[in-house]
Amino acid sequence: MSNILVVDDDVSILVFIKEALGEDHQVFTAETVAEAEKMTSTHAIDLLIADLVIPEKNGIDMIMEFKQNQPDIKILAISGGGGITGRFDYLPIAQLIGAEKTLKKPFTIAELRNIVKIILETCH
Amino acid sequence: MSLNKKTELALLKQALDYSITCILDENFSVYYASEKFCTLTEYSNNDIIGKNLLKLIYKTQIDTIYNFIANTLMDNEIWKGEFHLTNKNNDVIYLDATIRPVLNDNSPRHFIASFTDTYNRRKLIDRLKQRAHQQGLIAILGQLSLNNIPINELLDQTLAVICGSFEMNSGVAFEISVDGRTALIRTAYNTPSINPGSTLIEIEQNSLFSYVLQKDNPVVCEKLETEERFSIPTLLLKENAKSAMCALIGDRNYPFGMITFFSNNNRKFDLDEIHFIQSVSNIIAEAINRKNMEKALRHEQQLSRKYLDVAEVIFIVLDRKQKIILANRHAASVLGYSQDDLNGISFFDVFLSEEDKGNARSDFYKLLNDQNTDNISLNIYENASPVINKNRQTRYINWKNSKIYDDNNNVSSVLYSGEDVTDLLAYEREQKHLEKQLNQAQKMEAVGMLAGGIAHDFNNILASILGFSDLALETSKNNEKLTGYLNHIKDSGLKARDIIAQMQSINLQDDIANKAILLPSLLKGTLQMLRSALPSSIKMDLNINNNIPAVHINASKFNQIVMHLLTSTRNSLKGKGHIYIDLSVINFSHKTCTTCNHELNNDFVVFGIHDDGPNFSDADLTTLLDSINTSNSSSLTLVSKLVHENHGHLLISNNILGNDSNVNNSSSGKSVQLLFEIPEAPTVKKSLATNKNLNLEAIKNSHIMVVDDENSVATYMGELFKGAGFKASVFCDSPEALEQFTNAPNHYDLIVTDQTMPVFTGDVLAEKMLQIRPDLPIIICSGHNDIFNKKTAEDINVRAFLKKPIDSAELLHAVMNLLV
Repeated sequence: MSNILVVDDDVSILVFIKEALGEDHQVFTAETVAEAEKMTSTHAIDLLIADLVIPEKNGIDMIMEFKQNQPDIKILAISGGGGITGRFDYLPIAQLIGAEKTLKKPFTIAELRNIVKIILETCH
Repeated sequence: MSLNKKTELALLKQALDYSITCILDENFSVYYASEKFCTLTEYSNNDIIGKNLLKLIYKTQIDTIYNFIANTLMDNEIWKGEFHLTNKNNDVIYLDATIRPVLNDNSPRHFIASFTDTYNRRKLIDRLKQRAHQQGLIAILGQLSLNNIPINELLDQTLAVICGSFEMNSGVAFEISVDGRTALIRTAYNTPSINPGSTLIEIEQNSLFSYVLQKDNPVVCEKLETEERFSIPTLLLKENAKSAMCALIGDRNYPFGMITFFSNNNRKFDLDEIHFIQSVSNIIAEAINRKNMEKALRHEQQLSRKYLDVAEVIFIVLDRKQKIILANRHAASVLGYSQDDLNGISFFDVFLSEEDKGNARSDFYKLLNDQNTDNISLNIYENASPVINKNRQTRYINWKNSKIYDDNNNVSSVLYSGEDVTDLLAYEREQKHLEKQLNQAQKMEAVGMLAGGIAHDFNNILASILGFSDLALETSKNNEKLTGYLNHIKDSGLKARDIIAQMQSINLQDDIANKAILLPSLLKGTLQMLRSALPSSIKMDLNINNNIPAVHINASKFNQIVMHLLTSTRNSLKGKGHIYIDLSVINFSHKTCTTCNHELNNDFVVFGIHDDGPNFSDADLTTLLDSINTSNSSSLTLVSKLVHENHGHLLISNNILGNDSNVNNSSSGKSVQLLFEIPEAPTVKKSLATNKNLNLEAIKNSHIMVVDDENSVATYMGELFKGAGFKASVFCDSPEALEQFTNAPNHYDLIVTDQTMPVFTGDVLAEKMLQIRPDLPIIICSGHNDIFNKKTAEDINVRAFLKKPIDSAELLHAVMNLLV
């Protein structure tokens, strides 16, 4: 039973992921990075599922900050493809800078559950 | 009225005394001499009475004339003639004489001699003769000078002529130096001790020369020994000169020189002689002036010709009959004839085409006759006239014209200046073409960006759809119908996911990244999208081998190629037919690329597209190949360009040429095959290892300098880095980059530079920067053509060396590692 925090500006995704993982884990959701930060200060988060494209902050920056402030946190980066300009796909970079795994939207429940399992069980 | 005898006699006597008369007796002795006779001849009465008049004839005449006069008189005839009489001083007096016998019947004979003093008349005649002679001389000298003889020769002639006519012994002509301090002897006449040509004389203060230089008129000196106005130059004294005459040649302020004549006797000079020598010196001055002006004019002409010839402008002058009378060097080179050959050619006849001649001629006549057409441009078309030169090439010239007038203000000829704009026009066409291509590319990029953005948002939506369908499926396990419906939704969602993924792969903006692409999946995705562009009456068959190796090709360029090929095939089929597409590995030997003639002797990954429409005719093929090789914008031209840019080749023909023809058995149809080289074993990519000790804060504040002369690449990298959270500065000019760096070396934390750039190449730039900051991390990106290798990189201490094609992940990875 791990604590999972999901950060995404799309509410439907938050609901979906919460539903998908909620049975096996404690899932917290945040629509903004600020909210997410507040949550991490109050809860010990094991896994952060973060969308790379959030209006208020560059996804890469966000991941780096999280890693800095909480080096033990594991990160799953998700993204629909290119950034806001549609040009670059930063998923590969997310892995470079500390995300354990990446997952491209849209994904099925099975794909999500599988990768969460892998992260929580194998990455230490 | 009668006067008394005494008065009459007195009057007669007086009358007689006013005339020059002698009465002679029969022996010619003087019986009576008039008063005037005595005054004139200076004989007193006592001297002359009783003397034989005839014996007083001057020695020059006496021998010839004495007997004659005597005999004439003895014969009782009148003698008339010129009588040279010796006067008391033994000088000669010239008299006109009439001696008549006095006719008396038997008395002793007497003769009456009447004389007229012709001295003044003579003198006048002499003067006139002399003047005439001088005028003649001047005329001769003037003529000589006009004959364009060299100045020295003119001077020689002048000296000789004047010495001869004026009874001077010698003459010297001097040239005065520009500073007025020395005189050079140019020529000399009859001067044993003077050597013309080499002797230089200093012009001293009070010398003859400086005196003459101050005077407006010629200077004469009758007695050199006692001359006080100036000192005599030694060389003249050596020549035993006793009297001299000098005249200045030229203007006092800009004298050319002097002519000097001297005599070994003391001699008087009269005004006529002085005027004469002034005239002569004027003639010489004129001649010298004229020569100088001619020289200057020739010089100017040469210079003008030089200007005409150096200019990269065509200059031709046409006379009223449209014949070329002048052509400069550039004209000759453009028109294909030598400058000499061009002379006399009828311009419009030889160089214009049949349809243009008429218009050009009528314009020319208009120009000749119409007042208002000065400096108009006589171009046949708007900016240029086509001209066919000797080599049968057509050159386009932009002409400007200028009329040349003669003295009567009529147009005598027309000057044409022309600029050969053939190349310019070609460049402009090419430019327009490139601009069109650029516009197209920019449109494509915009569309790509839009599609990318849409894809992203779409993915999010799909995530929702798929996600909730999945969730719903979980809770609907017991409801078969519901499960069925939900599965449909999920399937549609998955299909949508595929389509979006393919669309995103087409829109990769990684122009710099010629990744090793697996063509089958790329092709399938592209074809799926393009299928909708074909009408259903055109069938498409695919034969794609999934096991072909990856090739180095730019994904988006490949898609463009496929699009162009499909479009042109569709167009040639005119709405109905069959398109066969295959993708496989084929071996070619002894074939050559249709457009670049490269030999094909290898295994290739071959993308072929064949149709069963009409064949290429031979003419079609040749025109097609021509149009591909000149830069026309046909689809196949673009395809050829793109293919060759991606290390590929092209085979175009009727029917299939490959060995693997398992698809099309029809005998008609066109076939285009794209051949791509199979790369060597793919380079092992660095594993994307993460480094747990990354100083993320430091990374965020890092400033990267990007240097690449290709604007699109540099901008791309800049945006890549900025998107990743770095600060980035982009330079396309290596000297500017170096300057900025030198001004603030600690401002930048990492340099990413291309290798091949003008001015400073990457390695040179790196070396310079490392001299300023030895610890600076530098990444050099080089293409496989660079003569730069890893060893050299290590030599100059560059931190990382990436071989193109580089993908963004690899680049970011390298950057991050170096910034630790």
